[in-house]
Amino acid sequence: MDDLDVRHPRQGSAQAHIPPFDPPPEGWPASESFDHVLARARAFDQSALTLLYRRFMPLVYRYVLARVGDIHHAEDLTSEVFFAAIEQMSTTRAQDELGFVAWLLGIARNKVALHFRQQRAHPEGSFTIAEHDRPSSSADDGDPLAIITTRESWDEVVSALNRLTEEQRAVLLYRCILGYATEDVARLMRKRPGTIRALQFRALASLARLLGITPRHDRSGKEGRS
Amino acid sequence: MNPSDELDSILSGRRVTGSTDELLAPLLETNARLAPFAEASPSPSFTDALEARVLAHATHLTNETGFRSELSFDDTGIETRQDYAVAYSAPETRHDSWRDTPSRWRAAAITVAFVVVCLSVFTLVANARMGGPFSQSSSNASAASRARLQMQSASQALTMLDQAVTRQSGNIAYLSALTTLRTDVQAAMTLIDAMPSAADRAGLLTQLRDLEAQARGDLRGALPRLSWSLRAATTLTLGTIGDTVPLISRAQVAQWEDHFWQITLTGANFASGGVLLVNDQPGGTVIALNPMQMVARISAQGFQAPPNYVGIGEPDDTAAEADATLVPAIGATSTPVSGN
Repeated sequence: MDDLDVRHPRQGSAQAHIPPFDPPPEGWPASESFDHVLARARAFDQSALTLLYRRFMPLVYRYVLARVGDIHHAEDLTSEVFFAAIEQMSTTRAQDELGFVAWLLGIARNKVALHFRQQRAHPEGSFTIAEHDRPSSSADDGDPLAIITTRESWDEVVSALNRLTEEQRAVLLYRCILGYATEDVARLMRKRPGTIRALQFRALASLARLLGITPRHDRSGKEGRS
Repeated sequence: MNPSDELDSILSGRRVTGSTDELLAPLLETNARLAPFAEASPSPSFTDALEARVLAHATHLTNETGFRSELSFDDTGIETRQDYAVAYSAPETRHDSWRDTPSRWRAAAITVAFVVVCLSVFTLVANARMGGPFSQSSSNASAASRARLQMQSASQALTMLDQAVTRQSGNIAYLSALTTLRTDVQAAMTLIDAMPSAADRAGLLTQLRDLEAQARGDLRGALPRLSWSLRAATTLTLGTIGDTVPLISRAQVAQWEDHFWQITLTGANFASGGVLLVNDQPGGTVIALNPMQMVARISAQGFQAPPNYVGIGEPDDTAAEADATLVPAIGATSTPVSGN
């Protein structure tokens, strides 16, 4: 990649239920290619590390948050991911932005897996998620019903995500939460775009089933859940 | 169009409705349930603190591995989070001075680099032209002149470091000077050790010891004006130039009862009056302290997850920090080591 691909993952999503993507991080020099920044970061250049951190930290945070479900653990694991990334920076074989994302999220995936293993080993060390530890969304700013719905469904969604197959979960994380385009997800997962679309369909169907979201015609006669 | 392609088109914003709305509606509703994750943003305080720690860790790795990065003046114009640590020390003046100083710093750095490169090239060319019967003496002279050059560069780095503190020029200027100072002193020491003539070696060694003594004085003088993360980096350098400083060989954190984290630091040179550092900030209560171990507890109120970056801050403003390892929970009946 000669020039930095400045397209943000969520670009192109116009549906109301898909949140708008973050603005590009401030301070990224448009004239500087990603591979040049990465090369400088490999030499521990502070400004390059800062650029990479500011660009990818929110991404890692969202990924981890969707897996563990509470802010404190998400912050701790995000910290661990970046410390590990710094220590392994000189060894990454990533050549472009997507390769770097794949590498970084690979570290995140391992940290999350280790976290779950430790939780299983020491269940007494885990805490109940306090109300204020749950992430808020834009819905929290307004409609009280939306606030209740969002918070009540939080644990349920995390639990359901963790019950999907590894591939289904990965597609939903990359596509629906991190907002990458189907073609990019295909590259991240080394699959064809058609395979990703099919996986996405099955993943959302499985998640819907786990969350008890049924087709509209099945809801008639049932007391409104929605 | 099959349903999976249609769903993908809708999610990508290329379509608004489809022919299979009934089928896709629950899937779109499910996708909407994921929205809070997609919209979640880390808090600015966490973002800032982690950025500072990540950069400090990179600096620590640079020091630890001996990797010498280029002078990291911020040529992109972006202000890195480490600068905020110094801003924290002097919020009224730091930003203005930072904006004023880059051009001067860059000019100074370029001048220093140019002089060092010219002298190095001159030395290499001179060495290349020497040889034959003079090889032994020329080698000795070359090592001596290179050692002097390294000490000269270290002395200049010390001057730059002093100026970075006085002018509050930002952490990058300070850390660059600190790294240069450390690596140049070490390089000079290596060159002096390798010199065959004891007489030449003794003279240069005296000069190096004088330089180290001056550096120790300057660094210790700077410590009270630095953030805890910078104090830890400075303490590492002090250790490499012969000062006695706290060192952490192991840091462990364990849950203690339900409401505390107990942190155990093992190492050397811990002084009486030392305080616990958690995420670069002093906190908690020291339960036991001896020269080789500190046991402290901190309320779990602010740390539902175990603190993972801990250290000791000494009364003389030196500091040592390390990543903590989580160990199994400790019961209330456990007794920490006795200390002073």
